[in-house]
Amino acid sequence: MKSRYLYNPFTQIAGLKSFIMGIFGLLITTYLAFNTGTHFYGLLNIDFAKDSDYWVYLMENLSNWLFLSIFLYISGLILSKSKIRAIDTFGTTLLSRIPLILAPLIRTIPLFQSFVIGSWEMYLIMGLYLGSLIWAIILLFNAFKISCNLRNERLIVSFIISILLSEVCTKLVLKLLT
Amino acid sequence: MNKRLPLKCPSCENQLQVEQLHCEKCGTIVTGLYSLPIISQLPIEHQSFILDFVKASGSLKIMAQNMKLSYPTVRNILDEIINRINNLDNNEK
Repeated sequence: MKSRYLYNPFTQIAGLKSFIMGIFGLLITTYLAFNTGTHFYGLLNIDFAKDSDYWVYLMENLSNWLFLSIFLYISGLILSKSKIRAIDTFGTTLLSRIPLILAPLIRTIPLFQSFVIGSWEMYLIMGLYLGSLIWAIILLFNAFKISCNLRNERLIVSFIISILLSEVCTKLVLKLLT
Repeated sequence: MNKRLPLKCPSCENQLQVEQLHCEKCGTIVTGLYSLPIISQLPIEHQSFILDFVKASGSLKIMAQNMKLSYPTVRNILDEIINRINNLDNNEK
């Protein structure tokens, strides 16, 4: 039962509670990303460079969450027969980003602050990022499934399309802003 | 012991109907063929949910608190019950 919290906490946590927890997670991730120079260019893209102000890191995290939530919520409004609430979709989507904290967190360890391309440190960080990304996507899928009450092909297709659209929009906005 | 009302025929899986009703006080027996009410045709956990939902004045928020589940999870259960009731209703028509 407790292991279920790791991949689907949304049967117990949603709405404002998930939103508040998610905001804390986002602020901590942004703080660590700023201190370690970890950029999130969307959900599926990570880069390392200490070259920006704090607001850039904040915008990277905020814009991706916002676009993702907007597209998932619109999908829910169009495809779901349930009366869905925006706070559930936005809150659970925000909470599902928590695993992304792992990549900037490990970079606070001095050994991983700078590394040579192709070194074991780089592969370890990339592996950790990949693991946290898979975890975040599983959480995001369950968040979408519960908050919008979708099933089968409607759920899978709209989930993939929403991620792809949010990736494009995040990159466009970040390009305009930076 | 709480006996469960059987809903499906153990032999062919068809929906069962009521044939006999009995008054415990005077022993009168009414015989006929009656369909079960739609609520009685729902699984026992859905029947319990409906009772609790009425007791909670139809509030999903109170239901979520009582069941220790999130609001959308409870709403999804309710939508599943509504869907089942609609299907049973259509079948009867």
